[in-house]
Parts: sequence; structure tokens; C-alpha cells
Amino acid sequence: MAINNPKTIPPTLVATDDPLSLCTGALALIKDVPVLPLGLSYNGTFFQYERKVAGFDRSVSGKYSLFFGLCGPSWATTANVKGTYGNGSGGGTEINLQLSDTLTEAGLVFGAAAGLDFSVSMTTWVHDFNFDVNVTADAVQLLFTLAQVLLGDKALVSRVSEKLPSVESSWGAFDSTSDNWAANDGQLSVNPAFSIPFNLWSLMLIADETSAIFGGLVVASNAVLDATLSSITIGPTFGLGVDLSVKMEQVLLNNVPYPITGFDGASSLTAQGPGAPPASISSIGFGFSQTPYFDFQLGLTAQLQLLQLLNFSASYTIDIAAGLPQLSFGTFSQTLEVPAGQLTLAYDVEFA
Amino acid sequence: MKFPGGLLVNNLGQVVVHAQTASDQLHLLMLQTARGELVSRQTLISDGDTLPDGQTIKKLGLASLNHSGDIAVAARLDNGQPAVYVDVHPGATARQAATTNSPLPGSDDSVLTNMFGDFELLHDGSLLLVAGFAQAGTPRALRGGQALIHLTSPGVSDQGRVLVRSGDSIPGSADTLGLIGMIDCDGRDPTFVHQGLAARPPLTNGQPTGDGRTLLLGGSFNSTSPKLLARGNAVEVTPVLARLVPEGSSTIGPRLNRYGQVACVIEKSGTDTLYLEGRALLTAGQLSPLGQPILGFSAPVVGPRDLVFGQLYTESGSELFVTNGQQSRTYLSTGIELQGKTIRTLAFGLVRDMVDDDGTLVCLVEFTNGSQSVLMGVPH
Repeated sequence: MAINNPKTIPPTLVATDDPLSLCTGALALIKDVPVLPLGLSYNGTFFQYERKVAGFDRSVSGKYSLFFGLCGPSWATTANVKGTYGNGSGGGTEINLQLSDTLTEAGLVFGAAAGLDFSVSMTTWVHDFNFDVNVTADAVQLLFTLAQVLLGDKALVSRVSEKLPSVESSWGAFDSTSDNWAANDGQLSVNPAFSIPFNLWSLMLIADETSAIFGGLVVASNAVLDATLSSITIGPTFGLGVDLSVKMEQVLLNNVPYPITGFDGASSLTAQGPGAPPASISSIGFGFSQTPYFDFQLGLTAQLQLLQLLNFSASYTIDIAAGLPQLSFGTFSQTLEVPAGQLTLAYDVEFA
Repeated sequence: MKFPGGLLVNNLGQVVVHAQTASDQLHLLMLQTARGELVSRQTLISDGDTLPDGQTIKKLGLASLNHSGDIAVAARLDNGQPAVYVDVHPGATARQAATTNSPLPGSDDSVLTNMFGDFELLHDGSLLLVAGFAQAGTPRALRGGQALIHLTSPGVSDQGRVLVRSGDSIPGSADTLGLIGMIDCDGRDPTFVHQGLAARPPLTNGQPTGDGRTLLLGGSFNSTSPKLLARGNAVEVTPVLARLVPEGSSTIGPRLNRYGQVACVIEKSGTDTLYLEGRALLTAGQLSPLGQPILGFSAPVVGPRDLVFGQLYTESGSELFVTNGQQSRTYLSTGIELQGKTIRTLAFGLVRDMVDDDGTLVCLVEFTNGSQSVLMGVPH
């Protein structure tokens, strides 16, 4: 349909942030859950056990400290927009937009530092079984390989440049697409999901063997375990489930919503609404509806097994949701609107 | 040559023992015996061996021996990953049953992680294995954790099923299963027992809000009896601890004999008690068969005819004993002489299969001159 007396919508970067980030300017994945860097710090005792029986003494203590840096869950999008608007042939206002250089991400950014303090003293058989380990590790780096195997080509976990406090590196667990909204009928879906309990000890052992990053302490302690056919399993369980479907439903001009009436299957869209077109536009953006699902699992496990004789174990889960407002799922709407004609970082997010 | 503690015997007179050389290299040896006499000795597999699949053994772990003579062994591979091998034969021939990234049976979106735990080779050649599993691809049903897996044709196919796993409800309790500890299986009748850790309530403010309890759990599995299935591929789990013994701490491995009888050592208020099927056989504080006050017990081994074999500790040393609750007898003790050498230390019950179905037992002793021996006791 032709637009009468068309006016230009200047080239504008409609973006949550530039460069795109899940930590700054991003849209909430779940209604009322803030997109804020969050530091979750835990420390305590896995187990503390002491039993003195002549010839069969055993004393075991395992302590942990974990810091999880978390940013999100959120989603972010960027698009270069330009087009025209004016009187529609059927009345009201009609808009024609071209979108290019689009990118959308959803997920979260995280980092984890794990500190372990194990003290084991046992007398069994002919071995004096003693070691004391106190190390810290960049837990997520060690998790990464396994996550890649799990997720195959999707590669939903990768090191990101976001800086989170108290962790050595930050990682993004997210899905992203560069598909143009217009090429997908205004619909984009992302769904990173995995749950991984992993043995930090064996990964730390490899790291210590290859680069002595723990000064050989883990290697030496593991030699004691090997000599007694014993094993330690320790590490976080990390789970992430994000299922997000976003539908671009409106074009916003000067905060006035115009329902999208069609996509051309490539890079353009049209929108239409009642009323006369504005004389000029000061802002432009989009309205989205989304149906989120989010699950973030953190757990801590530790097991020490001596032959088939003794087993000490402890397991915790961390209730991330307890530190957040009540999660509200179901479909909800958000808008993203920026000053027209500016390639700006300014953004405005409102819950509808 | 030293013996780190792995020592197994089966009904065929086969003894599998871990041996460590001066260079700390571990070897798995097969000793063939007949009527208590050593007939032959073979090395099955050693640290550093390269297996037919191209993997190299970095360090051997525990082994399992069934009454058909089949052997499985755990190992850490050169690539750092844990693995379990079956069909272990002299010359380091073996087939890999599971390793990190092996598929979780019954699931097309889950794999095993590097969190391997206990395992047991059953007498039909199938394998029970505790391993962590990771799940991908189903956002609304994520459930990674630890699972007790029954691989029906280990080394041949990935067929099998998950018997229990983290998050399973514990009958008679509001708790769910957190971790799985040591396991045992009678191998003939489909019954298994394992330590389970009730999941603790979630951490809030960085501290646990409740107490995780170690439970002794038992269950049955039989592929021809689907009525036993509680849901999906899980089987009904019964907390046998509550049924068989008073509550207490169970850090020592539970043991099961081929008739499904469960023996365990439960510690309560600092006192060990040895139980068989809920019946207290011996308690710390009682006198040992040699007249010494008992301080505690190692893990028991259930033999035939309601006999429980074990090692007890006293102020003066330790005794390898057998009891049925009414009568107890000590076979060996520290301080006695064998073939002109004095026993300084003895070890029994470090692993499960140290008694066969006839009551033949194996144990380790160290003499005061520092030498170590594998001993076999034959009933007569």
C-alpha cells in the first residue's frame, strides 16, 4: 500500500546497548526481575567428621567457598532502522520500516570462583591418609568443554567481555540470532538449556598436571588418593534453562504504538494505526510480547570415598529465586524506544 | 610389591588384587587358586597400558569381579577422564563400558559427566554404575544430577536404564535424593542397596537451612517385572535403613549377600553397632572373641548361612572375626605369628567381595618386618 505524503524516518540505531550486552540496557527476560549484576557468595562446611577408633581413625572436613557472579537473565537486541511514514491509503497512519544489521541475544552472563579446603586424615590398612588442600579455581572455565560437548554446534556458552566482580572470567550462557525480524515474521526464539554436575577435582588435577596452577598441591593430594584407591568428587552443579519467544508487535513513534500489519519476509515491515501521522518524530522503537521461561540451578556437591569402605558426601542446592522478586511467567510486553535519528546508547524500557 | 587394598574373591577360586610397585605403578593381578593353593598368577592390566580402544590408563581404580570370572575396572585415562572397563583379560584387553560423555541410557539429550562414583559388575555381566549426568536441550525439564545406572550390556551397547537419580522422592519421607554413595547388589536376585544422601533444603543467605541425612536405601529391579517401576525408568526405592535398623550415621559401606541380606555398621552417639537385617550382632563396648573391649568395626561382608565377617578394633589391635549374633569367632588378629612372622596390621572389608558363597575369605596382612601378604582362609 502506498503512503501518501511520506515523511522520512531517519536512520536510527534501535538497540538496548551498543555494543550489545546482556548486562547493560538489556530487557528483562522475566517480568519484574531486574537485570542487575548480582553477586552470590556462599561459604560453609560440606562435612565435618571425626571418629577415633584405635587403628581406624578418620577425620574429614570439607569446606567450600563459592562466588557466583550473575547478570541477567535478560535479552538484548539491536537493529539499524530507517523508513517512511505518512497517511495511509485507507486512512490513519502507515509506517514502512527497513531493518538491517539485526542481532538478538538472550540468556545471562556469569562467572564462578570456587574455593575448596579439604582436610583428610585417616588411618586404614597400612596407609596414613593425610592431606590438606586449599585451592581456588575459575570453575566456569573448567566447565566449558563439557558444556560444548553437550550443546554441540549450538555453542551457547562462551567467554564474554562483560566484567563481573570477583571472578577471573565471565561467560555468557545465551542464544543469539542475527536473523532479521522481518525475515521471521517478527518472531525470534532462543532457548539455551543445560544442567551439568561436574567434578571440579579431576579438572583441577589436569590443570595442575599440565601447568601447575595449584603449585602441584592437587597432584600431590591426588597421589594419596590413588595410593589408597580412593577418590574425591567435588564441584558445582550448574543448570540453565531459558526458553524465550519474542514477537515484535508494534512500531512506536513518539510513544504511540502502531500495530505491525506485515513483514515482507526479508528486511521490511509495515505498521498501521488510527489518527493522523505526527508532524515529526522524536522517538522510534518497537513493542514486543514475550513468553519467558527461566530456570537457573546452582548446586554444590562433595563426595569422598575410600575404597568401598567409607563414603562422605554432602549436597546443597542454592535457591537463586529466594534472592529475587517472585518470578512471574506468562506472556508480557515490553517496549524499546530511542530518540529518532540518533545512533545513541540511550534507551527507555517500560513494562506494559 | 605393596597392596593398596583392592582384593576380591569369587566362587571359582579366582582372586583379583591390586598391587603397587616401588615406582607407584598399579597392577591388577589375577590369582587362580584351588582349595586354597595358588595355581597361577597373571597380570591383567597396569597403569600405563594402552587399551584396544587407543586409550591409555593413567591410574587404575577399583575393580569388580563376578562369580562368572568377569572383571571390570575403573581407571583414570590419560585424557583425565574417568572410565569403567569390562571384559578385562591378561594383556590389557578390555572394553570401555562408560566414560565422560557416554550417553545416559534411556535419554537422548543427556550424557555422563566426569563425576563417576561406585560401580559393581553383576553376575550376569551387567554393570551398576554411579555417575553424574548432564542434560541439555529441554529447558522445562532440566534435571542434571547423579544417577545409579544399570548397563545391561556394558562395553557392547549403551542399553540400560536409570534406577534412581538425584531428585527422586524417598518413600516415607518428604526428602528427595541428593547424592548416591556406595552401592552393592546381590547379583542373582535383582536387589540393590546403596547409600543415599537426602537433599538438603536450598541454601539461603549462604548457609544450609537444614540437615542432609545419609540414608541407606534399597530397591529391586527386574526388566521382566514392570510392576516394580515407580515411574518412567525409575524403580521403587525403599529406605531399608528405617525398616532394618535404628537411625544413625552410615558412613561405612552397606553390604549385601547373594540372598539379599543387608549388613551395615551404624554409628549412633559415637558407638558402632553391626547389624544384619536389622538384628544387632555386635556393639562397641562388648568383648571381642579374644576378650578385648570392642572399639569399633570396619565394613562387614555378608557370607553364607547368616554369617557376617568383619574386622573389629580394640585397644590392643584388631581382629578378623565371623559372627552370627549368637556366636563369634576370631580367625586372625594382630600380634599373632604366621609362618614365623608377626602380624602388625590386617585389613578386611575394604571392598565388598572378600568372601565367596562358601565362606572362603581373603584378607591383607602386613607383618612387623614390613612385608605384606594376601591371605586366603578356606572353610573346612
